[in-house]
Amino acid sequence: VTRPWDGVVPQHEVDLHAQRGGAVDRTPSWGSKPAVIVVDMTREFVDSAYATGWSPTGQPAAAANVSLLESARDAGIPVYYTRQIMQARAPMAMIGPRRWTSTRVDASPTLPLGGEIADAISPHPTDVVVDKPKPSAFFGTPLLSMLIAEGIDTVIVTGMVTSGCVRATAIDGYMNNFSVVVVEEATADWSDFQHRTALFDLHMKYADVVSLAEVLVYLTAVHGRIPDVVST
Amino acid sequence: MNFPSFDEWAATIVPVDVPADNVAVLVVDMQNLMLSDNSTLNDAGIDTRALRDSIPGVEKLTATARASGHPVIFIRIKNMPEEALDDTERSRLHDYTSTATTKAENEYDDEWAAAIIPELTVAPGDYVLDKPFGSAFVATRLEPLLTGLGIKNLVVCGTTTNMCVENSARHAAEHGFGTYVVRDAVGEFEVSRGQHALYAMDTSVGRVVTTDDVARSWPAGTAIALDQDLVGASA
Repeated sequence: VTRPWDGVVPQHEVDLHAQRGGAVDRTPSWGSKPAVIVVDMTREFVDSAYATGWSPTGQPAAAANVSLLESARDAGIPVYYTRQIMQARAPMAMIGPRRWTSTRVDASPTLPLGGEIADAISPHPTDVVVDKPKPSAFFGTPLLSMLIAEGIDTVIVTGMVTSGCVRATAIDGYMNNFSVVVVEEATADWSDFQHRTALFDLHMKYADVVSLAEVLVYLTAVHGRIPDVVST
Repeated sequence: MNFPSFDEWAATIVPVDVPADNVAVLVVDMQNLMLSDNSTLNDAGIDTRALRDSIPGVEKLTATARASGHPVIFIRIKNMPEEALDDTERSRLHDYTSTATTKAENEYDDEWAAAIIPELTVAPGDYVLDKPFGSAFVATRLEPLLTGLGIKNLVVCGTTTNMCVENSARHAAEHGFGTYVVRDAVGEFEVSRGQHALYAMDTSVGRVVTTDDVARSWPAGTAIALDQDLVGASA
């Protein structure tokens, strides 16, 4: 089995983690009521035409999300998207230490609005779109209330960027006692190094990092096992 | 100590000083849904005219705050996406708002229902946030905003006294903010319910004050200037 951090994280450090944190290769601890959280797959992240975007990894991740979301919707599994709130619309988003302060505006008249979900993975009418002010999808948003109301026990996290908002969302999911699954191919970062090391970090501490193929099998299994989530 | 009876409390209004530093005004749900004659709540049998007595007090209070350099934060109840709560009928609050939303989709629109009523001033530099439930603190960006602005005391007004105002005031107090509720800038559908809510909050949540208390406590131009870079236009 090839893992995303192979060749990036030294093997002796992988072993070190395994001795203390448990097996690297393991069955994910997913439950029976999953939801998918698609983090910030907006035009301005997926597409290099935007200053903050990175097509080389964003476009393949979008394609992986399309596949994952089709299966999720078929199984009647709720889908949540996040969008980063633009400062121009919500000045308070900028309040803070400003380690990653987006000063972007939709400046280019030739490009469609960057803050909207990328066209290739546009939300369906039954999906929920959550606007967030900070990296985590849980912070300052109704997401937790919605997941509790739906009886969700597992969050499947995808999107961009792996080391930023995906990581923050996965950790907050763990903090709120959800089983957290991060899908390797459906996440992306500008930095290949940070993508791989963030996945390693998440896998060894807070989440199960799985392949797209694994999660598709899981979604099929959930579909068959839980009659009340089957869509009609 | 002996708590005053309700009758004793209602008969005794004493001046209260309101902190003049690190303080903001929170205006709860002063929006078309709650106060407009065209509100769908009227169609649902809830007479929104009872809430309109709060309008002059809210306008006076926010004007006082702006003149003194204190932030004004409007928070509006606005439903979660319908899909998110489709099968969830757990609270009576949701019953009210879902009725309103359903009708809003047909007859008005969600933006109209959420809009601050035209009788009130929303000035440049005021903040406008949305909330999905009663409390301004639940599932919203209010608390990080207050933290970012260095706010330690919150003056709460709006509608309705016993519901969203009280939910917000209780959370403000429990999150560590000095909490003040302005008795002549709040409204409740049924008068005695509002008065008993104020009585309960004055006893156990914060202090119930008047717009005159606030005006006396906040002479114009006395606030410590906020970092202008952090004072935003309305969202």
